[in-house]
Amino acid sequence: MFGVSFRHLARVSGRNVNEQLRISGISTSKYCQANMSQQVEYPIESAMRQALTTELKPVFLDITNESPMHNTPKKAESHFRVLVVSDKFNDLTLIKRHRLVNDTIKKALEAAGFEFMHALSIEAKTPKQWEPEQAPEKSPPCLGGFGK
Amino acid sequence: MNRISQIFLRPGFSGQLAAATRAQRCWYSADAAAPPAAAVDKATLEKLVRTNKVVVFMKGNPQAPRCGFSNAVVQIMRMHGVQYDAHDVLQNEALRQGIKDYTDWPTIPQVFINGEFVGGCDILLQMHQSGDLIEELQKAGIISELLKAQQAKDEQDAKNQK
Repeated sequence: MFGVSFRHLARVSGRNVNEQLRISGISTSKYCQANMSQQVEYPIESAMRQALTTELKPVFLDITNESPMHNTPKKAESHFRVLVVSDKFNDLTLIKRHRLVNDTIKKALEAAGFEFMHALSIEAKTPKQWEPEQAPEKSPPCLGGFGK
Repeated sequence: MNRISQIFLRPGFSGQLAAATRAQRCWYSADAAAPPAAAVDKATLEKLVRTNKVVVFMKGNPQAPRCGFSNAVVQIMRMHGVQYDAHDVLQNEALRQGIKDYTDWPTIPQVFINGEFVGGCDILLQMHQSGDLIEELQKAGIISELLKAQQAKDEQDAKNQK
């Protein structure tokens, strides 16, 4: 009986380690982006960042590679979340803002020879709707449908 | 001869088996470079998105969503007490591609109210948070449970004040 519970505990703590690795995976990806000039480790993220920056002139831009949250290989670039704060959104409805972000990314990825990513979560705000201390929303957990 | 071997010996069985495995393979590699299934055409989708006041294209079904974003949509609809048609795109690659082409929207879930494309998970969530969803539902003749609860509470408060 004890054996079972210990094994159970081990499994749980093993999962925690994985969890931590995943979190550090996310932060590493951000760190790499800061040093983009050295090597393009995340080409899709880099193409997205460049296109959004030039097309939307954002006051604030945050791109998170959430692929490690899902059942993906290392350095995958399948799941992303972006927070874009731009004056270009001022007179646009929510859906038009999202279309603008989607299209900008789609064009950039096509030009770079990539397909559109599997998942993209968008927050598109005007400078008025945004406070600098505001953190991006969190994505819901994976329910296992990826790759199916 | 027992039944099982009879089945195996039946002419055409191996063909069926191969077809079944092929179908299986396509289904699992829907996201990879599998040969694209012919997408469901526009006319069919135009009808499909109007079969109910609210229609949702999602991964999995409302009882068992297969994606966190689809699940969020299901939960929002549940909070508002909305009855809707749900289509599982994981069961149908042609539908998955068709709906993306139809709306020119790259991701699933996709929500339609009164036949009109409203958006995906992020938009629905924001509409829910801002109260716009209650209004949109009202335009389609659906009174949100959240609105009903609010009205009931307001009435109660008014009574209490008297």
